[in-house]
Amino acid sequence: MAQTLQAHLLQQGLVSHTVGAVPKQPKLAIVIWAKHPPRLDNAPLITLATIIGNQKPTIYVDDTAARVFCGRTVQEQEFFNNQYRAYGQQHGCPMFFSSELYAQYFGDDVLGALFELAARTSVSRFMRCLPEKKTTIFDTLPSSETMNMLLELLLFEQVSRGCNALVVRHFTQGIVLSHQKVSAKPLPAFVVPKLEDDAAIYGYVAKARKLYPDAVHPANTTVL
Amino acid sequence: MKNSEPRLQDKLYSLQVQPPLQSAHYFGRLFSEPWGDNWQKHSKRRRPLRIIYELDVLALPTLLERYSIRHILRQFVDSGHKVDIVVYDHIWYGNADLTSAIMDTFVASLQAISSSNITVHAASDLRKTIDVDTLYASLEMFLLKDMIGSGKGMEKKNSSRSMQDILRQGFSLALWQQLKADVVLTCGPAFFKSHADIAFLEIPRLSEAQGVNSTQGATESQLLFEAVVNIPDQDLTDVYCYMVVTDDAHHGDLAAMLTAQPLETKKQLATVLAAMHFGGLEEGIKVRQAFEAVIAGQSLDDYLPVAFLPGMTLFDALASTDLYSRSELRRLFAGGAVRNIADPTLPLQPDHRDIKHNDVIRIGKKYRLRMCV
Repeated sequence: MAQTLQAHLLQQGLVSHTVGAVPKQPKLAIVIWAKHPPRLDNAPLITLATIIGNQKPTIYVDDTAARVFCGRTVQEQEFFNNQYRAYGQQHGCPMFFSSELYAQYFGDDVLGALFELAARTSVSRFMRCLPEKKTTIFDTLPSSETMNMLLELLLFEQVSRGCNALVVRHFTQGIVLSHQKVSAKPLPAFVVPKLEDDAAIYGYVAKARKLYPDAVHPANTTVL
Repeated sequence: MKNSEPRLQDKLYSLQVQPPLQSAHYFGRLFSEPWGDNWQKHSKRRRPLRIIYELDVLALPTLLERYSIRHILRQFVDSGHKVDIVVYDHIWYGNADLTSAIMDTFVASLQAISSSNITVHAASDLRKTIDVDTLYASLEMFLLKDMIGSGKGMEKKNSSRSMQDILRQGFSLALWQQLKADVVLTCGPAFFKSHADIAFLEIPRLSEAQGVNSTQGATESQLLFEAVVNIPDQDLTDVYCYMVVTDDAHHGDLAAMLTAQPLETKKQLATVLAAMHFGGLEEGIKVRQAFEAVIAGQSLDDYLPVAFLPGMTLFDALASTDLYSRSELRRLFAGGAVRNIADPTLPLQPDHRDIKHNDVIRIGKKYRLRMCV
């Protein structure tokens, strides 16, 4: 990647900062938690990734973690997955679901992969990844909270098989840092600045399109 | 010790070598809450009970713990219950090339108790039967702060601890529920020991014997003997309870004996244990003699041989050595300084005649004589 582009993005405030060493030819991925239907705040990620990579990013949808944390059945989660499939098609992005990747790579021993990853991850690192609002209620947190981080790391490991960089939101950078510590193939990341509300998101996307009109923009959607 | 005092040895050595299978009494006393005294009530819920024992290659039980566990599992099996042993071996930890001879031998010895009532599972196989949802649900039952602590310095305390420890707790619980466990046998304090449907039997950690004097090639019975003799005094009651236990009446004697003669108490207990596990009291005493010879840095051949001819008393035999004058010898007998090292709690009398070949007689602190009958 041309250094000037990264510098320009930083200068224009489209990238807050980067984590890790950015590759010269980034193949970008976006990780989305399928807890809710596709939301507006994914748009800046796709827009930025498209500008940096000059192609549509690959979207990794974590339907496993979402299903487990929300206590959904596979069928219930499929309802959300279908919405993400449509979303991926609408934006022209290749898409992978964590459930499919885990089945492909680990078969019936997903826990084996999770334990192996857990062995490489220290408790203190987990503590550093906890969001601030959770640290204030630490005494009431169940230990299942650890699965949040581990499943996210596990998906990052799968992402690193096909991509070499991420575009993430501000609050995900803790996991990115942790992944860099525990993985043999750490993923660097471009961090999108904090966007407080929908207006900020619209403004971000409009600014990006204006600055980089030739980038492969996401297909037209209702929000863009 | 005066002759009139009760001798623990009489009690210990005369215990039934195979402890009685009074499960209600035996298990009732071992269990911690919530079953505790209600063992009988709970144990009637379902028959046979499912007992789970988890064995971890990275935290193998010590020699004494292995004997305790084997002994307790044997009690369960003999009482008609079913035991599931879950083995966290090197494959579980992703090191398929490594093996542990201690663990393999121990597992084989457990399987040898009963092939029909003891089932051994590899945790790495069972892992495939538990999904992410189940693990998550199990972890939901623990508070994070109970697992890793809270407050200042917590991060530093956990800096070298891996997340696997936490997942493992959830996995174990999921497994116990899947295997429909009634009782979980743990070695050392378990994090999770409160569950409505599961009783926890916690064997205290029995430290690995320090200062074992065995030379290479020591038999297993000798190793056990030395391990018992070398345990810290405060652990002795635990060993006694978990490895020999019969009835509460012995505990008072044990406490008194332990205060008066800790080493001798350990030797006697070790003798009983060796007898229990290695072919009877004769074997136990043989192991004790061998141990004492090693401790003294001598083999039997190093002791001064003394002929003990038919019709002789012990006084006659010892007097024939000219080590002491007859009056000195009488004084030593009167002072209780003449003892058989196989049974040193009891001073021998001058007219003692019950001498066996190779019995070693100690006279004061200076001489040990081997009797040749």
